[in-house]
Amino acid sequence: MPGETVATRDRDPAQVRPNGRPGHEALAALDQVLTHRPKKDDPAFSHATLCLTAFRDELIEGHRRQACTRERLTHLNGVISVVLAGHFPLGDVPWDEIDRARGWLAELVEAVEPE
Amino acid sequence: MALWDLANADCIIEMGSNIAENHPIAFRFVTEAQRRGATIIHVDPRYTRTSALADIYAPIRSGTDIAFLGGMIRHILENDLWFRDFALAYTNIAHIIEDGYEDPETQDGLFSGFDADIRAYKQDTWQYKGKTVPSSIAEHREQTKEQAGGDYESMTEGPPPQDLTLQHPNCVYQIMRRHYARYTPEMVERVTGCPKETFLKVVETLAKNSGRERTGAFTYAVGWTHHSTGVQIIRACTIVQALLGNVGRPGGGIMALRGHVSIQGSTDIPTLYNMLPTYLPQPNVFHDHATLAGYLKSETPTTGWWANMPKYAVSLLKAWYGEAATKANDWGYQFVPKLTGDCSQEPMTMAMMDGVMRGQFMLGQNPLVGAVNADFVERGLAKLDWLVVRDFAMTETANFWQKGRLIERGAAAPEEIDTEVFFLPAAMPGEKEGTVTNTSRLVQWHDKVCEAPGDSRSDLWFVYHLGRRLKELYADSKELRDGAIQALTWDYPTKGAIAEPDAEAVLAEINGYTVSDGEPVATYKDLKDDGSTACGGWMYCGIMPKKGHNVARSRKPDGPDGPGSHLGWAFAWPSNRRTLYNRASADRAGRPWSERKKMIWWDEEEGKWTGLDVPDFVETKRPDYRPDWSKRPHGMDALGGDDPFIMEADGKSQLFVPTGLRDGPLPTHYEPIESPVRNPLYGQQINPTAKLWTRPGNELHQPEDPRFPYVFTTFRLTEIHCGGVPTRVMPHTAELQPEAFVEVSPELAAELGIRHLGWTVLSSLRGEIEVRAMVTERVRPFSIDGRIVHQIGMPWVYGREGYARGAVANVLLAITGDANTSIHTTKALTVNLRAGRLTQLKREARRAR
Repeated sequence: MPGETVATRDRDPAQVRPNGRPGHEALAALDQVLTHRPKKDDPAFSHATLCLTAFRDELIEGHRRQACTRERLTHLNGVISVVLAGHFPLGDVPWDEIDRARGWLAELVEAVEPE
Repeated sequence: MALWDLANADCIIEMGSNIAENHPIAFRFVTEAQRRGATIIHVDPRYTRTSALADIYAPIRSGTDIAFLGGMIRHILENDLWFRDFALAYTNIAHIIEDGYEDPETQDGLFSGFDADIRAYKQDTWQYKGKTVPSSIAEHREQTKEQAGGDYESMTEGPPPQDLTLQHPNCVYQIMRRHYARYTPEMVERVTGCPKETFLKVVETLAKNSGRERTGAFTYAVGWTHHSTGVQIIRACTIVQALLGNVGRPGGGIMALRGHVSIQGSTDIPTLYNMLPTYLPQPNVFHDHATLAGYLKSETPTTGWWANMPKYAVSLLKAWYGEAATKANDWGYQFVPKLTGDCSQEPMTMAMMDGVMRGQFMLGQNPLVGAVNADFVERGLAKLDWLVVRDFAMTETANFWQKGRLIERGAAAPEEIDTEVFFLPAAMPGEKEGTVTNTSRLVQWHDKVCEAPGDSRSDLWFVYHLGRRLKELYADSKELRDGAIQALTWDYPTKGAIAEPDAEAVLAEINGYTVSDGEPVATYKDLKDDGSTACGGWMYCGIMPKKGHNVARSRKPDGPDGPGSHLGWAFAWPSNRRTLYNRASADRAGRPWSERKKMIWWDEEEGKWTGLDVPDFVETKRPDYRPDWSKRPHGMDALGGDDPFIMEADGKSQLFVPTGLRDGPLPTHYEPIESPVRNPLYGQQINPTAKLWTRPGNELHQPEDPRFPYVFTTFRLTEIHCGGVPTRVMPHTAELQPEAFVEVSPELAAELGIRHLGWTVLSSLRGEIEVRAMVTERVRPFSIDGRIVHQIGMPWVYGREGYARGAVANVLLAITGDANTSIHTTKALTVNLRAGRLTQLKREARRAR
């Protein structure tokens, strides 16, 4: 069946972040969206959202180990909200806002996954 | 209109509705009308019990309602059958539109302003010439930055330009004549499959039963709304009714038959993501809504009744945040969530698949039966961390992890699904007190008659105690975002051992009160924007006008010789009036159009409007009042004494909608998103602004895809309610409709070798199901554009739980949305059908488990 998946395979971090750096994956995926500026609900948007939520899962795990602050989670949720605004827009896709959110994400990735 | 007012109609067209079977209580008013001599007409793809009791039955192919209604508009205009005095005075038929407006007539199905890249319209060329028209707040309107640069003050400079001779080429009348020119009776037959003679009989019957002395009504249900053009279908009907003068008058109107006893209430006090209670818009983070002043400036029309919006918004904030709402903090405005994007059900189903959501509450919802693309939804549920389901009995949604379709065919195993599911028993209607708001805005109180068993609780109990625990949890938080929970007033009294919240206390808050002394506000006209009043829903204001007086409890009908508006029976919002826009029941001078059809009129001696209903007008505004445009009037001062449609910026019924609809100012026939035929009317096949999500698992069929040649529709049954709970689990209802079935015409059955009660397999790119055939003449083949198109249909109410079981029809459907409301399409798609059962391999996989 197209799209048939078993739930936990999709949630398996290893499937989404083969190189163990979900933040960088998410940033790369968002950069793809910003470069190509696809129409609503393009697969690129979906991929970016999946990568962002995988990064969020990492931060949540970190927060539970007290290795990540709530502030960072809040920032990432803000990024996800803005990307969803482009993914499922009410009216125009807010590209300026997504650009801005990219900046927030880059700062967060630098802090959590320094080079 | 009130439901019982249907009995006063001289003609009723039931369309997009199987009222006899799905609204049997309302249907008695139709039978009463028929008893009094009214002609009853049913227009529908299937021949149902409603059809059997109608005087005229007109068959149409699913999804072609706009072609039919557009044909009616054309016939009414071309044969001069419209109620000229009414329409010229009370609609925008004479208004002149901007020069740049282009019609689908010249653009092969598109309006001017279409941007193909973003599949959206700019509405500049649709405006009244020289004006920027705000849309009525209550609509789901396009939220672009229309206000930026838009100048609603233009509406205070003078009325929109008009040509009352109707000769101007860009007046609405001429635009409509051009737009509907091709919707001839022959074209109606070609597109809908309805014989031309039958179509003409329908429109002629309605037209001859309209005018000064006679009125006609429409009833509709989800047969109209569940399409990618749903809003425009209803719009087409409003044009017909406004042209014929069937608005605001006894026996005239459009009755929306809602699909649930209190769905109206759930949109009034909303469960919809983009509205605050009683149809105030939810703030949007990308608009000029950062402050309350910005929000009110950009959302408040300058003219018409909605100019009062600030009073309703501030009073709502005061109700929600109580003492925490002060002038200094914009009455708590910063606590209100701001929209970023489309959070309606369908995008959020996609977002569930993308891992955005960690958990969900399902309160009286069973999406694995009731939501389209059920398998897609099921995969999404499996990605959640937690799921809370509250219902009367076990549902397909609650036990998806154990018995779902993914489990059944081996695509998942329970031990692989991490979702933690909480199933909480819900109290049934007789086990809780409260109100229901029905399809004619009637709010009726009901008492509790017995205690709910065991741990069953009402939804009010659940939400109240959940909120109470959240407030306790966050009481000491220093985080800014927890301020909203902390500020929320949540002090309802409770009663009994289980601490059930007092529903009447909640209703009193919705009614509203003056802050200083807690006394109820008696009417929404007394609400203020200075923080001195609090009101949970302005349209409900007046439902408890004095302490201890709950109008929703009242049960005093008029006697046989009474006025017939039954003002003593419960409460209809707003202000207990039964017919909206009833000013239109009188002519420009304030006299009823006829004695037979009188409702309200101007009493010169008393200096006010009076009559058989609560007037829907400024009580003391003279019919000959005209705005003094030199003073740049605002609010209701800008509407004349002959402008009945007070929620519109210029007081006129909008035949042509300049602002507020994403897919065009005039209804236009587009084929359903999946169709076995090309659009005979235009090159544009489908609604160009329909919401589509093409991703794996949600693929769409192309037009004329030979793999899926049959039109498929879904419907419900009298005996089985909505998603199936509680009626499938009750033996006495289940036995009346014990098993799912698909209705197949004898012709198609013969063609495919399908026997009555034999097994069949239905398939689409989303999934496949097996179901027994009911070979019946209730469904007929159509001749469409010169070839035969077969239509089949299935009730969508079955699932695997309960006594009455069967395949889930919504497995076959795709996730798509109406451009304006995001509502899914359930009434017209394409499928394949064959005799037989699902393949042996699949059955073996099921047996192995």
